[in-house]
Amino acid sequence: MNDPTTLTLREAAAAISEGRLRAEALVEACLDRIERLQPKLNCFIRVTAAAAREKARAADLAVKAGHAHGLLHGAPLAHKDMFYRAGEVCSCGSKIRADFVPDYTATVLKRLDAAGGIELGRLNMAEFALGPTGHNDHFGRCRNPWNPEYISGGSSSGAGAAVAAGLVFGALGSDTGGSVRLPAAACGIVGIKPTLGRVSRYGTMPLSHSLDCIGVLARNVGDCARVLSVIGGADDDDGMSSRHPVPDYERGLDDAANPGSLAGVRVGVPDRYYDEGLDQEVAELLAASRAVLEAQGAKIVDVPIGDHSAPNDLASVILAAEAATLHLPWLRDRPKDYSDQTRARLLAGLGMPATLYAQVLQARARLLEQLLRETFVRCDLLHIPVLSRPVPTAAETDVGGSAAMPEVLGRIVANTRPINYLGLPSLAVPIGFTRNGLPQAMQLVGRPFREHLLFRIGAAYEAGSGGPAKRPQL
Amino acid sequence: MSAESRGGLDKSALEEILASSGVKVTSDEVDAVARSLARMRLAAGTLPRSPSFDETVERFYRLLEIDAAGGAGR
Repeated sequence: MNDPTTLTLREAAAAISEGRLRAEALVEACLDRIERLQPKLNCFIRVTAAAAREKARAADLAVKAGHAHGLLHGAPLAHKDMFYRAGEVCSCGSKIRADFVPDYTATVLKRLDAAGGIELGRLNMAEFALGPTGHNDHFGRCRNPWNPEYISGGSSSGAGAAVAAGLVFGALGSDTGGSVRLPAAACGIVGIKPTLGRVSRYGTMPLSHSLDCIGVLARNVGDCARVLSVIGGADDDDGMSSRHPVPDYERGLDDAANPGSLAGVRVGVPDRYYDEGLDQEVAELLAASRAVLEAQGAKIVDVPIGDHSAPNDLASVILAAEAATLHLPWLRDRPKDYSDQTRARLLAGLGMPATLYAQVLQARARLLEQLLRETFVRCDLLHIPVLSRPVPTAAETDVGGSAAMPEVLGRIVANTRPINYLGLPSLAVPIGFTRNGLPQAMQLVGRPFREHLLFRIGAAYEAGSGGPAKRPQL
Repeated sequence: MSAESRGGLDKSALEEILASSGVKVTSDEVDAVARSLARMRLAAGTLPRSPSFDETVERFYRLLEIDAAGGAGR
């Protein structure tokens, strides 16, 4: 096999399970690539090579003994540095938790371990997951593998860069206002923000409990679906996790490539908000992606939608209040250990009237109900942009905690944050490149717990557009 | 900055609220918090004027589950 890092996750796991590829060889190939590219990308905070090699040896022995059953058997993974593993440092991208060692392990990590995944290390992220660009004053900025001068997106910045660069086959991230979908879009890979409650948050860094979702970044739709199948589902340790059954997300994905596979599917294009300020190049890519879906049999329909600037702003109220509450002790005792931007964003929640926060939470049901009744009755999913403009450079978004910060960051999350307020699932899928050479993505948004439909549409798009996005030359 | 542009809050009142949290803030930071609050209060202006007494936060989570249960669909 020439370069095993070019396989998909599903191909790699199958090759290892069937004895055609050794997990040790694959892990070594990934570690070599990490060693070569980390200085350029800065996407890892920590590489756990020794532990990964040990697990790879065990995975190969299991195959020899006929015990390889996991869906991720031998697949190299790495995760945003906010998932707790007993006895190992989990920095949360911060100085404050640089030495934090949890004494318990996140449910999602236990599930990945049980499925045979091999963790290669921890990935860079915005400090405490508060930032959509990939800047980090403590660990350095994570760089975009398509061009290091551009942002990687955030807050799961390392996850986007590492998966796109072929250093790992998949990564966990978190999405409170777009933090999985934005780096997926900026780096040209696939990212799923599941329905609120679909994935356990036990043992993960909290930011805003009313909005936080654990999501997956992978190189293609099928790989993304497989990892979500592994981590999704009820968890007795997380009382907020849903008991709704987890379907087989991979079912039907291969058939999605067949002509006409989307017959009967209605793809809704909102009549307002998401096209405001849309860059012409991005608009053309979105139109082309809709044409691909249409060629696969989908019907494109215009749908009415309320003013989503409301859920966008309302999500910021929830985030500000909940994050400020969590961080209050450190804001009092270790104020100088935050970056300017993180501190500025957290302070915003301190003056929040309690009744305002409660009203915003109370209004969620009505706004969701309105969307289900008036919009989703006319379509099966929404097709909207992730970013309204081409991916910006790091310099263009280097605003720290200045007065320009709210507007600059607000523009980046404008299309993703409303979806968090509404709790809906959303899949970011690459749709091509703008003239600056950076990727763009569409966002497919479904009704609650319709991740399986989003994967099917995404897979049909990949098939109809000539396959998943290419890998950057590094 | 007028009280209105601070989201209807007088600066000294906001300083008092922030001080009561135990977090030390500069005058510039108070202004920034005021601007954020103004934006958030503006957003709150879009909220339904008269939500039902029974429109609880829990209803949102129930709605997610109910919709999922009713839509085996595609």
